[in-house]
Amino acid sequence: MKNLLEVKRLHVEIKSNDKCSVYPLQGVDLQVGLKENVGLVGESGCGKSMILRTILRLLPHGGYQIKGAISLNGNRIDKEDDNYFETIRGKKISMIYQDPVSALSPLMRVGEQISDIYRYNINATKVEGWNLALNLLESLGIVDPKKVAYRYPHQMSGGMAQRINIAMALVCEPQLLLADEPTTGLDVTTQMQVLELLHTQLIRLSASLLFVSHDLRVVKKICTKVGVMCKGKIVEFGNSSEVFSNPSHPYTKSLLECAQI
Amino acid sequence: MNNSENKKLKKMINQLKRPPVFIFLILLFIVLFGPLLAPYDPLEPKPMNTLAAPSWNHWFGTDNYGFDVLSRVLYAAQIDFSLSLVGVLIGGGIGSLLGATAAYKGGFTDFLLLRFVEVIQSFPVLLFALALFAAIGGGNRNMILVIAIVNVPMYLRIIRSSLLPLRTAEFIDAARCAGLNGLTIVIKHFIPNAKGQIFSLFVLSCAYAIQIIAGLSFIGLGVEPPHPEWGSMINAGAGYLMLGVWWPSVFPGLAIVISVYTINGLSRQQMTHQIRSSV
Repeated sequence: MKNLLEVKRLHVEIKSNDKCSVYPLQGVDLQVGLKENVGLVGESGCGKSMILRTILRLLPHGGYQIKGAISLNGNRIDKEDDNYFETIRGKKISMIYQDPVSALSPLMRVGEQISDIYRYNINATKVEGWNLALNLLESLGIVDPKKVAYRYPHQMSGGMAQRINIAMALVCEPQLLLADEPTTGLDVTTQMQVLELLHTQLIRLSASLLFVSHDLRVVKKICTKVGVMCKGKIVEFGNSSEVFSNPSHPYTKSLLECAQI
Repeated sequence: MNNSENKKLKKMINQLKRPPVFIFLILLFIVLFGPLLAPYDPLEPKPMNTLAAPSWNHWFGTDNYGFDVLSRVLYAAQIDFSLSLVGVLIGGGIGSLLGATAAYKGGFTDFLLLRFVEVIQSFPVLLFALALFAAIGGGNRNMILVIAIVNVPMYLRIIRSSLLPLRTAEFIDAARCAGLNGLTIVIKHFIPNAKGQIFSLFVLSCAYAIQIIAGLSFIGLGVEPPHPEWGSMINAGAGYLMLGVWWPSVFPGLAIVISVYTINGLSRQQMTHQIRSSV
């Protein structure tokens, strides 16, 4: 099967002022196939989010890629300039954030935020964007999309805000969706609802998902493949059923023991 | 329902009772309709009637050329206010945009813009204006330019520092992630977050601009002499103060004091209003 996203031996360095560099990624290999859900698990600070940020080139100040290759659809994207990334962010690859409320601008109505992304990426009129946003909200299980679209982020619950975020990520129909712990801030029932919505939308768009989480249950449930990360490296990568039932690396074993799955 | 409407009305009336708002409305009226209220032509001297004391014919008296002081004060209000407004709008707009850009970009852009601001701010305002007038000449257009240039650094600094926390905010990250380019993010997400600061600063700098215009005209720069301007009127009357002829300079001076006080009061009120509504 052809891979949608391929990351090979990726090294990232973050330089800080006092010449003491951090190396959050030290040789990461990762493949995401077409219409495939890949999970990434690992402890905090092991570099899970850093992989997503490197793929989109949204590294923190002073961060850059030292070695390795990232390719999308077989084309290398890590050699391209920033203008190129502006053309793929949101359109080919988009991202869902951990904290749904703070990922929305506090001063704009949410409907406007969704339709703006569509309008900036695809030259559409205001009305088209707004209608699309309403349709999308409806398909994401929001009961009264017309009313909700006029709300501000602080007027919503976490689950609702996360649906808005998902709508924003999906509005331009990307091929790859990066999810940075999208369900961490939600309670268990909302979490399930959001995940199911995400799943149906992914099938509708026939898109792939790279799902970062430290919740092993969720990853086991929705991902076909899983990578276990530890200290900037992927120590184990394979089909999720295999990894969870028969872990080979000692770190994976201890992780599973802690989670008691 | 009725009760809440009553409350709203009461609130509005209370707002009007505050001295700055009330005086400001009068000032606004004078600025808009001053030329219609003026009893005489401000540019028509009456050589037979110079330095006449305030009377029923000339409420504020006449000056050394026989100009009617009241008419000139009224006409000057329009000139002073419009010059300061246009200058501050231009300077404030550019300053806010650059400040937001500096906050968004950080790094070298930020460094460069801040050093540029420091260079401009290291000159005293009057000296800077003097140099500029010497280089490009006086007149209304250049006065606006001076006001704009003086305002850019102030806006740039304040807007930049108030927007600095947004650089690492998640929704800015999310906006970049959604494929928005830098300029769109600055205009759509950065500037609206500094709306309150920009507005307060705008009101304050209007008052400051009136002071600058009056100060520059006082030393003979800026608005050209026969045209009425508060600063130049004070200057024209200053020579006669010793002789006990106080009216040609005191009335325009009073106009400056009242305008600046009112505008500053307005900004203070706006700020407290903002703090209250944000709680």
